[in-house]
Amino acid sequence: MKKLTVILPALIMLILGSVMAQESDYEIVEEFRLNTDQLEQKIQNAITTTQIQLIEQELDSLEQAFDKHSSIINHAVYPATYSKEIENLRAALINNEHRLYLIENQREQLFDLSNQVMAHRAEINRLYTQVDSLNQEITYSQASEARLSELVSNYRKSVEERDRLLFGMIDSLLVTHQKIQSSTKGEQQLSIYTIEDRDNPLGMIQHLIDQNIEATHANNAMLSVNDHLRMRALQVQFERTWDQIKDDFIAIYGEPEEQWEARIDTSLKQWRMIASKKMWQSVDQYLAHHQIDVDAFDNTQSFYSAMDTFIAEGHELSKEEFLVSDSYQQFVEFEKFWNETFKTRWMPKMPEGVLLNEEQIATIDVAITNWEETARPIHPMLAALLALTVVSLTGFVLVMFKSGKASKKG
Amino acid sequence: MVSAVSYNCNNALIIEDVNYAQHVESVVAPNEEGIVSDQRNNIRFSVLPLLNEEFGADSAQSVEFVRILRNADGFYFITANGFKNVYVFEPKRGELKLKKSIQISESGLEHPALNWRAPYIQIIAYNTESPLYITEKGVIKNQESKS
Repeated sequence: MKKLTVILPALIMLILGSVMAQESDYEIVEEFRLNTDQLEQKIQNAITTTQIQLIEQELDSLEQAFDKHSSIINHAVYPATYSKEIENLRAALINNEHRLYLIENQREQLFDLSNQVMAHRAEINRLYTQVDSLNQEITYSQASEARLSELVSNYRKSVEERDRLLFGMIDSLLVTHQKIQSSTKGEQQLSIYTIEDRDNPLGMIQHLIDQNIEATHANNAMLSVNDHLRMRALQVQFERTWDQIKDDFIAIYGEPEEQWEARIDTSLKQWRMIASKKMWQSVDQYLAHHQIDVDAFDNTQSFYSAMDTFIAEGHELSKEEFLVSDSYQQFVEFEKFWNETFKTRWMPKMPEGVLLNEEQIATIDVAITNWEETARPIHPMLAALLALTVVSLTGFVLVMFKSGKASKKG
Repeated sequence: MVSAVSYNCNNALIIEDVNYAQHVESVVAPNEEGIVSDQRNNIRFSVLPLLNEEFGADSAQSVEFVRILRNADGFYFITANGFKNVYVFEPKRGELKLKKSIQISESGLEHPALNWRAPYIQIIAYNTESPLYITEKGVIKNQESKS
């Protein structure tokens, strides 16, 4: 680099020297224009502050060489002036230097980000191993029921801890990325850096997704619906974070870009499909376990349809009942699931739109209220009162009829 | 501020001491029809009469660039690579009238250039030993006085 520092200004002086020897004003002006254009281009293309410093030396040499021709240049570049041209170049140089300082700072932050990913990866890997070995132990365990229960409990805790770490990692990726974005508003030069001789964060992200695909595939009956919901929420959050950071990450770490983007997007799609399938299966099992017999579903829309149909059928059944209220128990079960489980326990944990959206929930709420009005049984006292009233009225009519007949005879 | 103003016999206003000097020569490429157009100094003319004059009417020889410089009195000095002469033109209404052709090289100028060195035009070329100074009247003999 030092050699370059010496050679470049010397080369410029040599070129300029040959021009000056000709003593053509026109050539001097043309040479000045050419040199300033080239320097401007170099300033724009500079990717390190070191390069900027070299360009600054070139600009000094240019100024030194052309200063004595400023009068001729002033005539030629009018309405600009020689000093204005030099001033503009210096301003561009300073601006770009400032920008590159920011980018270099940004690069340091990206290294931090990379380190964060590395640190998380180690811990997450440890937990994956722990989960695997616990799963194996449970599968082959001939131990007592108490021991088995302890193993299952440990297994679920480990899965939960692993997911918590993944959530943490996603959050820190996003926070660091946002910090980088805000520190360089309007600066879009991230792609000028490539990271060499380091573990590629894209590789780590790909590895994490693969691990999750495997883990989601492998999970078994020991996991509850809550575990499946959490794993799906994790996948959604990972995917949304990836969408926000991927352009910059691929620009910096992805080589070749298309390959990385396609690989990670394909894996994410696979993870999404598996996590979604497992989640809906577990919800279905939960409903079956609670004797809520709904139509089959495997996505948001079909789940909404199943809920809607179940309520509509229950409502119709309630309308047909008179004085009896067999469907009311069905309503109570469903209403309990809907308000206490679905809306209170599940929905708050899930990203918007993954289970149901707000509009769908509001529609179901209205349908449940309507169903309740129809399904609610008549109180026994009210029924007795009603029967008594009917009997009294009949008696009264009969008495009136008889007394009317007697008076006619009389 | 003192301005040179006079009136002619028809009592028309005349502004005197006007300086037409162009400080840096224009180097303009003729188009396919031989027209040179100097956008910066707003002059456009055909170079074909000059080529005829320089190379003969039968010659198909052309030039890549024409070099034009105007002096303080408003005369146009025109030459090109391969020309033996610098042509001095006086601008008239819709025409350039040859005032003088100044022979500089018998074999033709190699890469000539015109510089404005008030009040003269300096001409340099690869095949001239030292710069020559010219006016619309011809080459100035006493070169020391111009340096």
